[in-house]
Amino acid sequence: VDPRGRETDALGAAGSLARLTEATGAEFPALLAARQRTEERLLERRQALATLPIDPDAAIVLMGSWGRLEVTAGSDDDFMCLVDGALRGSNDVRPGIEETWKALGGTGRRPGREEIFGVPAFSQELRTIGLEDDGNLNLTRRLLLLLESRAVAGEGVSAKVKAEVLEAYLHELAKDYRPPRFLLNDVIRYWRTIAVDSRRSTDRVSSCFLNQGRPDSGARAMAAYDAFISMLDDENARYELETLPYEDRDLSGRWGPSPPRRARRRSSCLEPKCAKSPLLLICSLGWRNPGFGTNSRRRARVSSQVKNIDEMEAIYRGAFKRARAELGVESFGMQVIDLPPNYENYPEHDHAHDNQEEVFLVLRGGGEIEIDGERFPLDGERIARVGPETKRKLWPGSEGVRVVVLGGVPGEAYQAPDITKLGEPDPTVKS
Amino acid sequence: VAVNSIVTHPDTIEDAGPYRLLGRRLVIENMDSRKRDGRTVEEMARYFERLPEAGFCFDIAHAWSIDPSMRLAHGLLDRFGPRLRQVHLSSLHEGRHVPVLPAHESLFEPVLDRCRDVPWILEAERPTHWAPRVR
Repeated sequence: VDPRGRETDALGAAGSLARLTEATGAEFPALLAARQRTEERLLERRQALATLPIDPDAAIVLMGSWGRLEVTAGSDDDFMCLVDGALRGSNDVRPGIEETWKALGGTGRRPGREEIFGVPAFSQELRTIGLEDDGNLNLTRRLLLLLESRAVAGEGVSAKVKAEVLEAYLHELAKDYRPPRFLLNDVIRYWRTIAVDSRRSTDRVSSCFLNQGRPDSGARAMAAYDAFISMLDDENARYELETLPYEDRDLSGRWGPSPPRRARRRSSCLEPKCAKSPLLLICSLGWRNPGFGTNSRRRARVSSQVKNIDEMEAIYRGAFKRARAELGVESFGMQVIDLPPNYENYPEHDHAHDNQEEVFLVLRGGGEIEIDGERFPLDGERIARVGPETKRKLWPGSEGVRVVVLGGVPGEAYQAPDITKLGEPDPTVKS
Repeated sequence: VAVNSIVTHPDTIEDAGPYRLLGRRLVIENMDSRKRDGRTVEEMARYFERLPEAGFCFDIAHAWSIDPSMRLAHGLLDRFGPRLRQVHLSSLHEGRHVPVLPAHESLFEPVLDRCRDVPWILEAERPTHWAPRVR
């Protein structure tokens, strides 16, 4: 099959999951919900990036679960800045990586932690296939782009670069009909990526079962994967599995049947039959960004937590980190507020409605706090308490400010407002 | 501790609560014509409604005992196939589970063909023990 010109569905797999449902009556609600969620959030991400200035030869593509149409609550915004052309300095590419990360909401892993996403990818490099200049990083980015990327800005550029990369792989085909050796080589090196992470892998696997006349087995494999996706999207399930020692895996009712021995991570697959399917590998990838449950029996298993603030779930474009929920604190309110330099629009408000008193502690940077119209300096040397009825507003200085806000109601047990809970919608993101 | 499946006869389940704790480890088996419940698609569906995580153990001989045309067998697989976890394979002869009788081989084959990816438990004594009695 020559995928050029029909890149999204060279093997005719589109709609195979639906055909599996037609053939067997089996339903895959979590997979379908993840597809819909992916499309909706792609739209949000596109809107969030719409106002960023972008070079005419640049594109932003989201990777991983975005490309597979399997976005869940545990998904990261891993993105790549793609440039159609020759190498130039990172600073000469608009939008910048940091700027893009912030526009996307500043959640998930910070770009640059992995080299794959920390610097722009240039098509000149991506098209350099084979020999010394084609390092692992280049290969990884090239295959990620081909297999599991969705453009959220610069769609035309992304499509063009993909076509060029395919062309670079396949042009030797025209000469003598040999198998394209470099592509085969890269496919073998990246068999795991191909087998596991390919775009719409659920349709591809479904179509394999259908083509082999085994719809019943296909329905079971997909039902197992559907359950897996629903767990990824379930904070309580992710928390339980994250805290479940490997030795105790058989004690988890959620987990059920033992994973095969060779999947060494504590998380693995839901049904023994996965052992026969490439989905086993999806199931053994392990967990990222664990959430926290609210069930006290589970919580009791972890008595302490240390977490990186930048990796906490955040709303209001990253300004409001759900620190209390991330650490599992239940006896008092606690959030981390990150404001950019000289930001003027922190909403002045009071807590008369819920009678909460608050303490503001600076972690980084500095600025002022306005209390009932009067401004006071706020920095590493000073902390502020504000009563429920009092109006307050933060005025970050030239370095911005990161503040811990502690809250509670005098004489009452703390009750967490929904906005502070993990997984609750971000008011700045349209649902 | 390393138990994958606990196969349960549904007519023993009165209160679903404790069974729910078994999660995906609970596997419910369809019953034969001598039982009063857990036999048909509708009767089984009521158990899976109460125990949505439970798997399905398909006993082909039990299904045959209720409907020798095997339509019930296919109906059970149509409805509960995605949660199928194992097959109990035997024939019923004079009220006993025995190895599949020659007369049942072609009858069972299309049904079993739908179950190739799960374990089959051969639910009968070894042939040397049953042969004198049955044949």
